[in-house]
Amino acid sequence: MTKQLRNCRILAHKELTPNNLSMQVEWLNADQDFQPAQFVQVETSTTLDPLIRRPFSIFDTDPYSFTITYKKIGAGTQALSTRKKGDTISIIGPLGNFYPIHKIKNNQKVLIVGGGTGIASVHYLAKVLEKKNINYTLLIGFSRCTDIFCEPELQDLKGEVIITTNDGSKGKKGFVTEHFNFHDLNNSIIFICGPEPMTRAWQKKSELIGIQNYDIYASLEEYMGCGLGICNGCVVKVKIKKNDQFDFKCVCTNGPVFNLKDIIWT
Amino acid sequence: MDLKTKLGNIELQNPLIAASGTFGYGFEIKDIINIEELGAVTTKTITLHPRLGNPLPRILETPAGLLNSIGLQNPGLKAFKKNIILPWEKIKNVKMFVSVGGNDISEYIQVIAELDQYSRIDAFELNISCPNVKKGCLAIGSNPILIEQLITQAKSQTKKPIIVKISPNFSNIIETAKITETAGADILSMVNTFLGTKIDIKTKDFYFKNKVAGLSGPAIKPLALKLLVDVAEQVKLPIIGMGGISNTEDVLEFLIAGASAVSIGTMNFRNPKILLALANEMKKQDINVNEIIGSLFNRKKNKTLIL
Ligand SMILES: Cc1cc2nc3c(=O)[nH]c(=O)nc-3n(C[C@H](O)[C@H](O)[C@H](O)COP(=O)(O)OP(=O)(O)OC[C@H]3O[C@@H](n4cnc5c(N)ncnc54)[C@H](O)[C@@H]3O)c2cc1C
Ligand SMILES: Cc1cc2nc3c(=O)[nH]c(=O)nc-3n(C[C@H](O)[C@H](O)[C@H](O)COP(=O)(O)O)c2cc1C
Ligand code: FES
Repeated sequence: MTKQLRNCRILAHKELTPNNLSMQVEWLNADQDFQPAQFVQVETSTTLDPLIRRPFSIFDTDPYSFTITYKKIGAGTQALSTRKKGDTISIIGPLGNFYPIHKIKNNQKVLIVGGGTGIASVHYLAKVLEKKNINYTLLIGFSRCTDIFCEPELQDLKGEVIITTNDGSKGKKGFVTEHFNFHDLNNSIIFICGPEPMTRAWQKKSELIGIQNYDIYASLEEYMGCGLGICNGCVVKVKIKKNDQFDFKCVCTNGPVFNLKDIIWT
Repeated sequence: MDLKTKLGNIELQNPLIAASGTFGYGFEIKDIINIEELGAVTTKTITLHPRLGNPLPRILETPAGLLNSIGLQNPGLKAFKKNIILPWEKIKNVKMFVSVGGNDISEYIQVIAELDQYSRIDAFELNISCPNVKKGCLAIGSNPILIEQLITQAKSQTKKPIIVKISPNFSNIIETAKITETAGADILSMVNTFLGTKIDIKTKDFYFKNKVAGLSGPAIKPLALKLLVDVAEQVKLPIIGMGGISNTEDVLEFLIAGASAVSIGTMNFRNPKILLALANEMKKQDINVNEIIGSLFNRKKNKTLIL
């Protein structure tokens, strides 16, 4: 589906924790239009400050709407939090590529890893895999139990869900990387979305152990100017296969999902 | 009312132009806006060789503004010829302005020489004002002798109109504009971004690796408009006015102040349909573009007469 600019109605806007909210937005056929890891560019305010749109991943869809979940961290998300149910909001979407579900081979183990606000896209991925009868294990990391903004939705999932918190206030204590036996990853495909340190930790650990036989697809986040592949503001460094050189690719249009093997962190 | 207007010898179906670097090469946005209905699209500045651009971070929002340190990332002339020109042949009505940059004068000239053969290109815009690269551009744009050489040589390579895009970052913008005029440029484009910076208080260092960045968006509108007034009063060249335009009132202010057409940059990110939305609004309001262009000065002249 090609990207569109639409004025949409806000169907619901809820506080999940004091800093995390969810917004349900009317969009006919959203369940067909949006794939896991795709995002929307949202006009957060009705004034010129904040000026540019903010990107948010799809958390869930149904035949007539999509939902985003977001954390209030600055002026844009603050402005967004004041928008009311019934208001009209300007949305551009669907944007970006998506997790390559088609690359999952028969009998391959599927591991999904999410952390922080990155949980939105992995939650949607889990739901889509369920519809396709593909088994998965979902590993989710939060800082502390009060950050867990979508517990009911996680409980509703049919696959195996493991929750960790850094301070041990809920589920297993520590980082998600600590709770996985990396030697178990033979014949696996991994999808990941979370804070950069988490993603880098997975890349590092898998390189250390030297497991070759699996792919990690990571959905990355960058500060965005346009979200449309115009400004080159959101680039990541990627390896070029034929030689030792690198290129800059846009997270908004070449991503947000990249094969972690290709990423050069700066 | 018809919005047709003339920019030098170029006929525009309306005076609304997409600014370089904020509209890609035109295709990225075509699902959202029908670019054939615009006055012109200025493509992202291209250089002879591909450029990777600056290290991250490259973008930071400021109150009603945007700081960017992109550093002219572009695929270079060869890729431009291969991937951009052909699809543009199929695009009708809208004019195509190709923005050109370079490390030195010879690089600009080589790009123009190789692109001159394409009839789809309606004009070249010389970017001598990008604040985010170390060599070329601003270094040329701040040196009257180099500006003159560049324009003279560019004119000798092509019969297409030469637009010169100048920087707001020097105290002598009127001088720069006058040199541009005497050197034989056809159209003036003003302004590029204002130099700005940001300090990261945690690291106690510059936020951008390049230290400085270019400020654009509604925050710069009064500054850009003032420079336009200064230049339009002194120079006869047709001018493309820009800097922070975000609504119809802004467009009218720039036209009244002497711009023959206007460009919109940063606001395309906020609303990718803005150029068309403003054109439609101006049509609805029955605005006679040609009557208002430069009316600020006509009135002043009348006033002087009366006095
Ligand atoms: C593809 C994509 C999907 C996203 N999905 C979600 C989501 O589902 N839920 C959610 O809560 N957030 C998501 N984000 C991040 C979200 O866009 C930012 O939190 C938001 O733009 C912050 O805006 P602000 O004005 O509130 O904060 P700002 O004042 O702009 O920023 C506050 C702080 O956050 C940092 N920051 C801002 N934007 C980003 C970014 N994109 N990446 C890393 N750091 C950033 C800034 O440097 C600053 O330190 C996503 C980002 C991308 C690129
Ligand atoms: C992200 C970004 C990239 C830009 N790239 C270019 C460029 O390649 N060449 C150029 O001449 N101007 C470039 N500009 C400057 C704009 O064309 C314009 O002159 C400036 O942004 C002021 O207009 P605005 O306030 O409407 O954005 C860029 C601006 C932005 C925000
Ligand atoms: S945000 Fe502009 S190119 Fe990605």
